[in-house]
Amino acid sequence: MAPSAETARPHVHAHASRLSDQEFAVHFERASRTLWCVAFAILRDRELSRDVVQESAIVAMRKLGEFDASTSFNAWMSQIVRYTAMNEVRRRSRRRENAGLDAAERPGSAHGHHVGLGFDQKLTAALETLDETARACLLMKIVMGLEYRDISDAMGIPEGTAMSHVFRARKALRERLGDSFGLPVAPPAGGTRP
Amino acid sequence: MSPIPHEPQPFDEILERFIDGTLAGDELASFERRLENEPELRAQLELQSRIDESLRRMCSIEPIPMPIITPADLVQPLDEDGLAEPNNPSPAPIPFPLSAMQDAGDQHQTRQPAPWRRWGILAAAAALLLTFAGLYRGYWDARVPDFRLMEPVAMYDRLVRTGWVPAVVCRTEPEFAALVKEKLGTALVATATPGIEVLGWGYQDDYDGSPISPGTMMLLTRVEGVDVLVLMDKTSRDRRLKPPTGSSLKIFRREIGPLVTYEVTPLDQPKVLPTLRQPE
Repeated sequence: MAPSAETARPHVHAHASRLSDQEFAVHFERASRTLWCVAFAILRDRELSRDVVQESAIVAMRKLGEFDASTSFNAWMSQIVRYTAMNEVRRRSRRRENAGLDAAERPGSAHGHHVGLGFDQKLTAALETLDETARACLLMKIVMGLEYRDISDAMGIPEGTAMSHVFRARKALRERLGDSFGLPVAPPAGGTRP
Repeated sequence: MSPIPHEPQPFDEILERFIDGTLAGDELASFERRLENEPELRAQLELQSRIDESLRRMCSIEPIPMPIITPADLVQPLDEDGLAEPNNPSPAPIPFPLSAMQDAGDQHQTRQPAPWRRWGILAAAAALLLTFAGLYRGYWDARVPDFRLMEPVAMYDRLVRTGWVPAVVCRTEPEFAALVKEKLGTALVATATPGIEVLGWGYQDDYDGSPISPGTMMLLTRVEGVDVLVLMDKTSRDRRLKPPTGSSLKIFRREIGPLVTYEVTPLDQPKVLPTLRQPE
């Protein structure tokens, strides 16, 4: 829809400073681990997430002329990684459908009790009960050790929301994994999903 | 005078602050005393440490190097999202008004030119067509340098991913009709129908493209809980959208006066298009 007076937005391309290819590469490598967290939160596969981050670099290079270097590189790249990862999910889901597999048949499904599993497996299953944004925020906080303002920047959400996602995600994981430490356990079916 | 005791904070909140290292002074001392006396708190803290340690181990990742990018990677006409590159040397087809040409052809069908004149006429027509196409393309490129074509399915998916939230909402039928008229030159309204919720309009700048033209209007609707996208544009700009391949979505088309409308839907039948009409 063409912009009307009420909906017209500032045109980001006007007077935008540009990144060179070399500057892009430097920014990309610096942000790559954070971007991996974004991809992993959606894909839950280490190697695939790495591939998606690299694929996103190619997509970003094609669109580099659109990026205003005075805005947040991490936020821009995170958005591209998110879209690329979602595409990958869709592609895989299509392939699964074609192969006659149901999502419930996937290994590591988060549903149900996980009696007899090791701590890491239980943790993996518990991670699946979180939503993607919460998972990404949690990984950025714990794995990357990012400050909330940096998580907020990368995820394009307010700092307080990032903090709240981490808080609730940690709590949800503790509730799910409490049995390992003799603590009360939350019910399995997403009841405490943030 | 004894100090005013701290208001006890919620268990999880204070634990979280301790983990984040934001507890200090009296609060920290108080928490450490609680740790000594409350086995459950100790267990929670131990559990959280174990979770953090496992996550760091499971998700440790080295910086990812830039991939090797070939020139071919940078001129790919359509990316995974169905986006056409803005400055691609081979842009997607220009929405040339073919229907108008066919109509004109029909009107002149009864007159057959002499055989010797046919080649001349054909050559002149070709020259005119090329000139017109060149001018049209030049005009188009100059007018909309940033316009990107986006496949309707990609547009639908993006709208779903971003929450199916309209950017502009019309509250009344006259408001709806006036907006369509302002954008497309002809008013159109949707007859209120049970089970169909007209949410509002998407703003294509939010999605980096449009399936038909820069002027395409995108109406977000919900049919009995199912997200259904309706595209509206002038028939002269129609691109004759093709049925999607590799997607469960379907596309239906309907012309209403000088406007063309499409319904992109997971349903087997168009539900919104039949409700659209020109106001009396």
